[in-house]
Amino acid sequence: MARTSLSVARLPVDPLGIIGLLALVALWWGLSQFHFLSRLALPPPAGVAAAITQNFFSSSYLANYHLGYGGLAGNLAYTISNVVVALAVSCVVGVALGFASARVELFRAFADPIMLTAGTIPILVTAPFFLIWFGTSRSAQIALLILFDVTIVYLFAQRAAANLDPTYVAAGRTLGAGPMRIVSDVYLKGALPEVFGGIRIALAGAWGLEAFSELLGAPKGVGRVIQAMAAEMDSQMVFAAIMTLAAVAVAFDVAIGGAFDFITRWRRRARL
Amino acid sequence: MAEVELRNVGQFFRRSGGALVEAVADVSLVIRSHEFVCLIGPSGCGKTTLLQLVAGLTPASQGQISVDGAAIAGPSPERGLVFQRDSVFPWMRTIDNVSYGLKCRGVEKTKRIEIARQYLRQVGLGDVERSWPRELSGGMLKRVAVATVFANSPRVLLMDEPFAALDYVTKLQLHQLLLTLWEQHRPTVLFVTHDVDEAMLLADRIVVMKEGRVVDDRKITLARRRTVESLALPEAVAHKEVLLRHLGLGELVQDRTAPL
Ligand SMILES: Nc1ncnc2c1ncn2[C@@H]1O[C@H](COP(=O)(O)OP(=O)(O)O)[C@@H](O)[C@H]1O
Ligand SMILES: [Mg+2]
Repeated sequence: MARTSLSVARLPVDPLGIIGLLALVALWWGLSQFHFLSRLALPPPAGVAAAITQNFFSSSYLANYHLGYGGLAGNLAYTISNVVVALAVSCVVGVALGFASARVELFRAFADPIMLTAGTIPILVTAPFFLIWFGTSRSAQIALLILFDVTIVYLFAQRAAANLDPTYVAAGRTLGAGPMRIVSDVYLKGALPEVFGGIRIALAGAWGLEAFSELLGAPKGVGRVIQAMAAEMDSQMVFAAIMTLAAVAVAFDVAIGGAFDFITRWRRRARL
Repeated sequence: MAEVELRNVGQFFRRSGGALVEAVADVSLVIRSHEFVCLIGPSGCGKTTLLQLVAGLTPASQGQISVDGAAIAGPSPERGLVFQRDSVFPWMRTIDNVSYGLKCRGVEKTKRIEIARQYLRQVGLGDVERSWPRELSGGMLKRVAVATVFANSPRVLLMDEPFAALDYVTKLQLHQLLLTLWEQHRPTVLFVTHDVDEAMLLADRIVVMKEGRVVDDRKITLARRRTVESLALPEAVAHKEVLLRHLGLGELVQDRTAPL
């Protein structure tokens, strides 16, 4: 019975994934090197890399287009902060409403239609309305993202709480846990793996949505950079903006994936 | 001291079809302080329902349940419950599970860990206090569940077929462990089982339920720690025969004319 819990050190990034990424860059380099496509349609990797390094922390070039002096980084910071703020708000709201709907039939009858309708709203089509309501401020993009994120988190939280074995709730109550502890120690902890799954899905979709909603009108942001550079036919900078945003999205996913795995390390791994 | 009294307790459920089921019907029962009562009966006769009523997890449709004369209102750590299914929280380490009840009651951390550690050692799990439940076997999880309720020092201990899913040897080991803990702490016990041998080994008194009602209630006066020999005494065999016939297993009993 002398078992010790040994947590196997896991690489945060799959080596196969890195090989795949290198293969993609090699293909890209090959295609641009041998001029299968024009320089405009497919700028070479070296050129894009140079565009990133030259414009990353500060860029008078981007400042010319009213995109601030902070370069790509400044615009990334704007985009990231919108995504993070919207996700944080959505987690609190989505989990609270999802749990409530799983527990209180009456609330579910009331909330489900609203949430499901919100989930089916063609967000891209309705986006202009957010511009009308909130103007070109940050709030327009954040509100749009919350509409998207909260639906996903709500559904995952609701399903997780509904699926939780009621024995755990009964056990907590007989051990002396009050309603607050039942929510925090039983529902929240037990539902976390599924809620985390929902958060990751919401986050993955949020990047593109944020960039898109910036196109409709935002003071800055990676979406705005892409728009301005596309209008200038500067495909090197368009690629630079897309690549840095993609890198940020991947880094976020790896980081929160790792954090979530650690927090829910109690979960049963497949075992025969 | 903890005398449990049930007076005319009844519980109704509405089935999905709409039919009303009387899971527990007019049960009156007094369980004396420190008594070890086994509740036995065929599957579906209302044992789990009755136990959950005493635990306070569901309010009774009819009648009153009281402990030492005070009517119960909801669950309480004074009435510990060991569930039939696994109830150990998978998201807490073993030691945190065992000390959880104390945490709920505001016992300071070093104190509650010390108490939990002592109970874990007593159930033979001193070396897995930092393990996650998924790393433990079914028998070990039951030991954790037993340590968890005892750490709360309940005055009433309710157990719902706690060892039904375990292998033969593990089950017999846990019987002895439970008896040791009971002799030390002397809670009043209501132990649900469908296993006649288990009831004969453990009980001061065996209550038989059928279709929601109490149909028999017999004192078992065999000396304690019962052994293979004492359970073969004529007195024990007579009890066992009656119990088997209550469970509809009369064909296993030679003398079919003996009164129930
Ligand atoms: N929540 C419930 N809803 C509807 N019927 C129930 C519910 N719980 C128990 N019952 C019914 O009550 C009866 C007794 O069930 P139970 O107490 O679980 O029996 P036992 O534990 O003796 O096997 C059964 O007929 C069962 O179908
Ligand atoms: Mg049962």
